[in-house]
Amino acid sequence: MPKCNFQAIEIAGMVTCVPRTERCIDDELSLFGGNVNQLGRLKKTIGLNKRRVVEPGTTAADLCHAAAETLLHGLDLKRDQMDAVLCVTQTPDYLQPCNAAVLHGRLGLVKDCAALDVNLGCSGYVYGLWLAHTMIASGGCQRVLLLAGDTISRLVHAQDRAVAPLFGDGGSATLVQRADKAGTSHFSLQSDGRGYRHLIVPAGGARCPCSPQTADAVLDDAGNLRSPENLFMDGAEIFNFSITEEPRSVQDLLKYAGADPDAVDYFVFHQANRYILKNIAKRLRLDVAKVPMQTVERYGNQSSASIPAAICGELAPRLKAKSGSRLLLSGFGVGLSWASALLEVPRFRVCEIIDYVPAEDSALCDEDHG
Amino acid sequence: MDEFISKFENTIEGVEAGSLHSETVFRSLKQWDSLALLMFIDMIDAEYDVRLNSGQMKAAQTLGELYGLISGDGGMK
Repeated sequence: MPKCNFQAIEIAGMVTCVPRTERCIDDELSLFGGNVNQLGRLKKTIGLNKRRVVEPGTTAADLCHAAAETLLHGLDLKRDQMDAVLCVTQTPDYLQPCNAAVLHGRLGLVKDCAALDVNLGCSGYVYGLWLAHTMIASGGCQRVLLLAGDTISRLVHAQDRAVAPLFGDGGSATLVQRADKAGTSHFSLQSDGRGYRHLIVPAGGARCPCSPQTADAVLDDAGNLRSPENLFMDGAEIFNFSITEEPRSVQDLLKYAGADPDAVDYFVFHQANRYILKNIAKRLRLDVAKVPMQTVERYGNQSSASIPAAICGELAPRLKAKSGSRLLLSGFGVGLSWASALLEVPRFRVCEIIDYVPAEDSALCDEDHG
Repeated sequence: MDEFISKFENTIEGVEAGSLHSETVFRSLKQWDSLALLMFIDMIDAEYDVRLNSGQMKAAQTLGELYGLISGDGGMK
């Protein structure tokens, strides 16, 4: 779609919630056949190290709920001040209803409030921001609560080296609101559905429902184990896509916005892995000090929550200290789908990472069907 | 071809300069793994402006075959 821009809309603050359980690649040497050398190279070059993963019974909705409670409290917002809630996730609690509806209820929002999900992953946060801006610009909403989170760790096979040590979990909450003094926000959104097979969970949807057969894990050519119910990633194709499309997309958006890269304070990319981010930064000739890339080694690749996690985890002190920082955000991945935004943010009152504290009554499944 | 093999040797960590030739089955090298693959993709994109898809990479066995893909019409320029 054509690029677009918005006036008088701002991000007021954001919170990212991560599970407390931490896994470390150092404890998974057996996954690499005891090859210490290979594990060392993966840590050094790809940036794999620690990751936070949910315990069974905790979902992306739980993480987003906790993030939203902290955000609303921090911004002194009442439940009747939300005009819409958007939830970006590919790991919803249910096939239906959508997470946004469930969270609308759990957050106690009023009935005059739209609630809908966006089924996107790594590009989803930027798509969600764009949708929130669109809803406000159309005049229907003053404030939109954007929730973006995933629990991809639950989709990977523990013995698939291509994905198991990489993915972590996270949930975020961001408030987008009308603000007369806010500057211009620029967006670009792109897709290439021809690449849908490169990052996919083949079974569990309507095309290939779960069955005893789809639960069977099979060893692939590279010696990785996975079933059709697990996440598959063609690393070479995704890498090709990332280093080809991302630099081009960022350059095009800067050109459209008439902005010089030097005038951007931070380039916050989807935290795919450090090797991809370094590569994109190199191709765009960016100052690496402006490109947060430590989020993967701390929390893992958090899919739709990775951009807010990088902002909350790596930039919070600076964004809470001064107003008017210019951020270029860019997400890319499953779909294939990619999107970029150039925004000026106010001084954040709320911008933090919190640990998830499970509720005592959290249930594995709802047994009481209505 | 020699230049390509030399670039390949420089790209893949732990490979000695001058140790490979066009008949080398690259995927049998003990240094060839998923990380080496990413570094190779990065190298051919930067040096030759060529992108090979997974199918092309899987079909190639020797460095000579890889070079054929990169220098001929095989790659997606």
